[in-house]
Amino acid sequence: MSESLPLLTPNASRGARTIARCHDRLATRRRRIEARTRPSNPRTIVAERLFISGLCVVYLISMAANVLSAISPP
Amino acid sequence: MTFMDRESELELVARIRAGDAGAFDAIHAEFNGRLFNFLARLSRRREVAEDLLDETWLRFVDRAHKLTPDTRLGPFLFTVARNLYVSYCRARMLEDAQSADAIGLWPLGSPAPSPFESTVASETGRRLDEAIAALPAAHREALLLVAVEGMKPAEAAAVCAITPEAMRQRLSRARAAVARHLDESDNTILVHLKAVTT
Repeated sequence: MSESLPLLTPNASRGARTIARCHDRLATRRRRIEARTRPSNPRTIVAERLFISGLCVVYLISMAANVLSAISPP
Repeated sequence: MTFMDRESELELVARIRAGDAGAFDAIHAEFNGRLFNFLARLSRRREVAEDLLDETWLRFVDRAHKLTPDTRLGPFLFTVARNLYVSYCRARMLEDAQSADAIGLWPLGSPAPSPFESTVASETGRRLDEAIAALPAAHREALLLVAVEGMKPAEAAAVCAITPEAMRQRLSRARAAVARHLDESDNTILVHLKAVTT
């Protein structure tokens, strides 16, 4: 039946503007996803690991000091 | 009118979920004309159809990342377009509260002349267009989705948010109304119409 009906054509210039707007929105969304999933800088990763390791060492030393002070005679 | 195969459709869905502009272009090329013809015949006004078409694509892009991997693009897009038209009708009914002949959700349409008159090429096409334009909106959308867009009645029922049985009733009434408008020389169309709507 669709062949019997006259085919109507949408406004091409308006369609092109809509496509451009849709591309913009898609690009914005892609950028947001990329920013969320982007891997960090290697230097930042090393610094993070050093910082966390330092905190662990300080914690362990303080724990050991506490245990030693608790078991040593007054 | 071309219809993409399911494999290509699934690939496009995967790409558009990732925000691929090329996938959007392919989907736009496939459905833009079909959506426009659907909206223009549903609303019977070219400028309204243009507005609703733009909004359909913008909504589609905004929701693209939320599509499920097995989304069927046709029913999805026609549902968005149809819902936008329903919202437009509701807004218009609020603005045009004095319209006494509006029944339920569906206003009877614009008193303005049909935009198709200037584009109709054949006598049969003109009569068919007139017959479709004269249908109540609920019957018109049913006929457009099934007989023109080639959807299965169950798919069209999902698009219109009604039961398949209600869709069959609407199709049957739409077919009868169109048959009254057409004469015996349009027998081919009537046979085709009967085949796709029963």
